[in-house]
Amino acid sequence: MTSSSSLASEGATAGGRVTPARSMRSSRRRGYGWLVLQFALKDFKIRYTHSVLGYLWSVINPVIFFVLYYVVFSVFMRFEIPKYPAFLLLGVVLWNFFSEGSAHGTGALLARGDILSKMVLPREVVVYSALLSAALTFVINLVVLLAVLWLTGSPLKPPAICFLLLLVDLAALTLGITLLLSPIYVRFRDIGYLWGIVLQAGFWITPILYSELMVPAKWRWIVWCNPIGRIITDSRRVIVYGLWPGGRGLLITTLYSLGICVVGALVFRKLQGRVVEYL
Amino acid sequence: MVAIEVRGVHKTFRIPHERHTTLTERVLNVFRPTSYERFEALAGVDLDIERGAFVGVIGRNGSGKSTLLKVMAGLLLPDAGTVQVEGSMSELLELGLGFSPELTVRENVTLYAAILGYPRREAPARVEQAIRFAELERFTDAKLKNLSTGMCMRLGFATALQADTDIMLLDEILAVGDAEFQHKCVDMFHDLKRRGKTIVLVSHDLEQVRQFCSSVVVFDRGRVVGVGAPAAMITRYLELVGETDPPADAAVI
Repeated sequence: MTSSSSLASEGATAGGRVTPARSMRSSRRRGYGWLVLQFALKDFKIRYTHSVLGYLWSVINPVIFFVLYYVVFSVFMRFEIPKYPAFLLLGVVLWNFFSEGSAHGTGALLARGDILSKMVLPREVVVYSALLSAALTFVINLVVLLAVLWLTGSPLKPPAICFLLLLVDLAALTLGITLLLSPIYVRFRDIGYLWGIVLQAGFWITPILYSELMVPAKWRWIVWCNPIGRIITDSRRVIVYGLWPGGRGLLITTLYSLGICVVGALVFRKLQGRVVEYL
Repeated sequence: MVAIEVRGVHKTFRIPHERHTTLTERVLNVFRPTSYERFEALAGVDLDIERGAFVGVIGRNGSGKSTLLKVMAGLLLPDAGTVQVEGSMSELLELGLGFSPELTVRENVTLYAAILGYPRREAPARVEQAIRFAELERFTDAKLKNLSTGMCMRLGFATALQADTDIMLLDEILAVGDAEFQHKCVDMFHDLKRRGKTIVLVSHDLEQVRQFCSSVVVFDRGRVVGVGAPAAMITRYLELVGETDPPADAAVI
């Protein structure tokens, strides 16, 4: 045994190196897709154990709120918005994915702390699986939405193809925010409370229940600065009203979402190395 | 041929006397900086582990054994020094990671298999094999919460050992369950040894260490204080414990 003379430099990554033959490791694991899926399925299964209606709750919950909002805003408050049911449901479904995905995803590192501190896994796996789990609910909700569109006599028109790009934007935005917040949340639990408040405020500031056109012109910039607001507004245009979106607006929405995703990924990469020490 | 090469590894933990996890706590305590206890878990460790060796790591509680395992696995980054690993590796630091009482035996084993990184294509067959090894075929579709603690341990053990990597890092995991199952575990380890797997075992069970290990490393206060044949090293370790601790504590270890 020889004693090294270099001093410990706690907190610094410089100097220390572990090279567990990464290529060997990856030959053992050819991609983590399967693990992401397994985690997501587990989440999804466990969420509905001990409930009689099981998976149905992922539909019942948004439908009940949809009916409530419809009664309050269309019947009581007389919002004059064409095709309000589909308009409303699409907004609620998109928002639910964003809020559930980001809230679950932010807590994912901590929730799976037991595993992350005992096994070498890419830490982002647990974030992806939290989002995938939210996506499963989202897909079920989209099916309900299609049914409502069909029942209210507004079938999909060619512009609906743009919705695919908007879904990519939504995924990138949610992933970006989650990657950004989850490693910070491990160190500062305040992030959880803070994000909860942002989501509650966001629900009212984002045009989910109302139309962006009801916002006075001088305040409309708030809607345009809000990435999820942009996604919802454009989605309604292409899905509910069957109109082509403005190309420039769509481009900005896409770059905006992808930008947030890149920032989130960079922050995550920077912070993930020492996450285990704070779990 | 060296499977794991550890060179000059240092790892110091800063353990806050009172940890501030919320921002408010930080702000309120801004003029009273957190004081830290510096704990040097690894104080310059150099170690070569040969391919095919069954190495036991012994030492008192807090001597740095588990930290070394975690650094080898890549879970913790060393503050200084390097670790080189040749070959595929699995770290089994706890049995049944991610087990959930609400899922069935098969669902749990499948998830655990995914965590351990079984190749996806081989997974279904290996999952069945693990359940068979644990002798729990009858309970394949039963929820885990209906099984006894021992059965869960057996399941975790059987699944973990299916990982079948070149190098296995084990923390206090050797034989679980009742006497009969323990016997089976022992056979399994002899088989792994025959197949030339490299195994690093952290254990306080000196009898197991004597029985299985081809060589033993003694740890004390974050340093390697002896490497050699099991019998000699166990004696060395017992001397070490006797030197500094009252005998009552040795019994606890």
